[in-house]
Amino acid sequence: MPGTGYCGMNGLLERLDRTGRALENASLVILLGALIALAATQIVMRNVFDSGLAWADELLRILVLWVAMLGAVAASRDRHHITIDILSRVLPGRLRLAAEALVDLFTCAIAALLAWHSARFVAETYAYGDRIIGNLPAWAFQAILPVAFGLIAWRYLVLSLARIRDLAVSAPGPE
Amino acid sequence: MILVGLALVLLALLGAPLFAVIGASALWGFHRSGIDLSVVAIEVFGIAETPILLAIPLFTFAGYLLSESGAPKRLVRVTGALLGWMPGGLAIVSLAACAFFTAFTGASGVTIIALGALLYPALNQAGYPERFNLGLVTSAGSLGLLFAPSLPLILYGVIAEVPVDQLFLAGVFPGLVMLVMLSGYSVWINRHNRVPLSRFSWGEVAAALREAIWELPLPFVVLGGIYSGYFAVSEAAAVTALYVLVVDVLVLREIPLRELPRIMREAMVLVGGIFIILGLSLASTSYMIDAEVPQKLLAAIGDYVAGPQSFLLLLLVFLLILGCFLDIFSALVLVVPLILPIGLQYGIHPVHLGIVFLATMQLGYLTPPVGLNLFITSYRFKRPIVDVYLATLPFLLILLVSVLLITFWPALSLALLGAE
Repeated sequence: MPGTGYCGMNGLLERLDRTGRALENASLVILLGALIALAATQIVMRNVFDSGLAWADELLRILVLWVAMLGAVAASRDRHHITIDILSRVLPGRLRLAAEALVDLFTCAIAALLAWHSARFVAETYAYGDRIIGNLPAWAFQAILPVAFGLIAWRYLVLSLARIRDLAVSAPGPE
Repeated sequence: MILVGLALVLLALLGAPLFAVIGASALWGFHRSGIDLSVVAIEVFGIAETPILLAIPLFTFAGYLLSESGAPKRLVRVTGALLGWMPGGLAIVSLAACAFFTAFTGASGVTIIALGALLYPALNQAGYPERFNLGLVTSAGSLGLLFAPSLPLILYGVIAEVPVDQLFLAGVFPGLVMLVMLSGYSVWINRHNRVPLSRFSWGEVAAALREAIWELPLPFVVLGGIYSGYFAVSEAAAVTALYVLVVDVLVLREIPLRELPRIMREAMVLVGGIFIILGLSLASTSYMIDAEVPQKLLAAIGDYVAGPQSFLLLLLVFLLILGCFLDIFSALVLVVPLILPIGLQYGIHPVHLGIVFLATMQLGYLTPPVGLNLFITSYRFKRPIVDVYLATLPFLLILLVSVLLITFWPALSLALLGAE
């Protein structure tokens, strides 16, 4: 089965993988839970007490971004991102592996670029000292972007390494 | 420039995630215009500046919960009690139940898994031809797309900056047209085999309704809440999510607490997959608007397209081809910003354009080679994909006729808005 164990570093990477998945799940559950609870509280406040929490709407929108970015990280883990993928279906075995490795490396590179430029965006906000949700530093909320894109890049690096290893292991020759 | 474009298309066809392809094209576009690339991150952060998007994770989560609970079974029973007396009863029941369910689950293939698994064996048992059943379950899987509060409707509202509640109203008649036409076909194809599911009985209706007592308020809360002005769309989503969570986990206890993290994760994987494409296409779109791509497109087609009718026809052909390759969410975020300004030039109402867009892309679920429903059916019911292609073909053709109707009869979409 492709994707189990990576080039001799099995133990460490697998443990990282397990911890990562647990962290990911925990944060998704907490954030989505907070999203539902806060949105519901807002409705009660508005309809019963005729007032809303001023900062809550802003926080809700930030939570949506966080949940979405973490969801995207989770999607990377299982290759659940939306793709078109019609050519690779028809490619023969080894060629397909090579194509998948190429595609994973490309995705890793783009995600890494996005992480880098998001990090610059966050650094800029930090330098300007922008504040949101009352008086909290905006950069802390924006930091999800470089973190998530970075994690996605890491996932696709691991996936591509597994592909390359499969490619090296599978005997060259007719399939 | 052309080489980079071709390389990106090739990578996409080889299976590169669309967010990476769109991200790459946005980065490349801004790089060529000499704009600082951190603008891409600013655009993605735009997700946090669009209040209505809150509705999407909440409705998605509610839909996933519903599909894991006993709700599909109860829904089939209620629909059966209400519609089962008709000739071709079970087929019509299947279509109606799927449409209703898809409206809530957002046409992500969940319907086929949750409802198709109940309906397909039941249809076979009731003596309907197997190939018909296969096609029915496949095409019913995305039937409720035009009914509120479906995800694609909300997403179109976000992108086209059209009030979502107007879209909800606009989808009603076009959605019904699709439903009625497929029902008519089902009755006609089974005209020699008029199996009513059951005789109509008030007792059964009452029993089915009683069983579904917890789910019954949902449509009223969502639609009633929105149209009475009591809830905003995202508030209705919050109420739905909380309500379904409490009912399924605490009251009916159909979903054990330990299953909750998995369901949350699955729902948010779908949301994340859509939103990351949305975020990056906000960036690529703002580049394309800067580069005046819509104006150039308009100029390019201006010589061939004389008026609104020929524009709509061209649009239809384009969307049908597009639907063969792109899923509805990616198509929405990528294509709507480009065609919307052109449509406005030709005097197409943005709400009508949205309904046409979604109705046509709905066919994309059923068209080879990448129609999502085809794969889900093939996988779920262990049938070769080619069988599923062929079984779905008649349904696809009927839906195509309904799409033509929806496209060239704008009043169908606009009547409830009181516009024009």
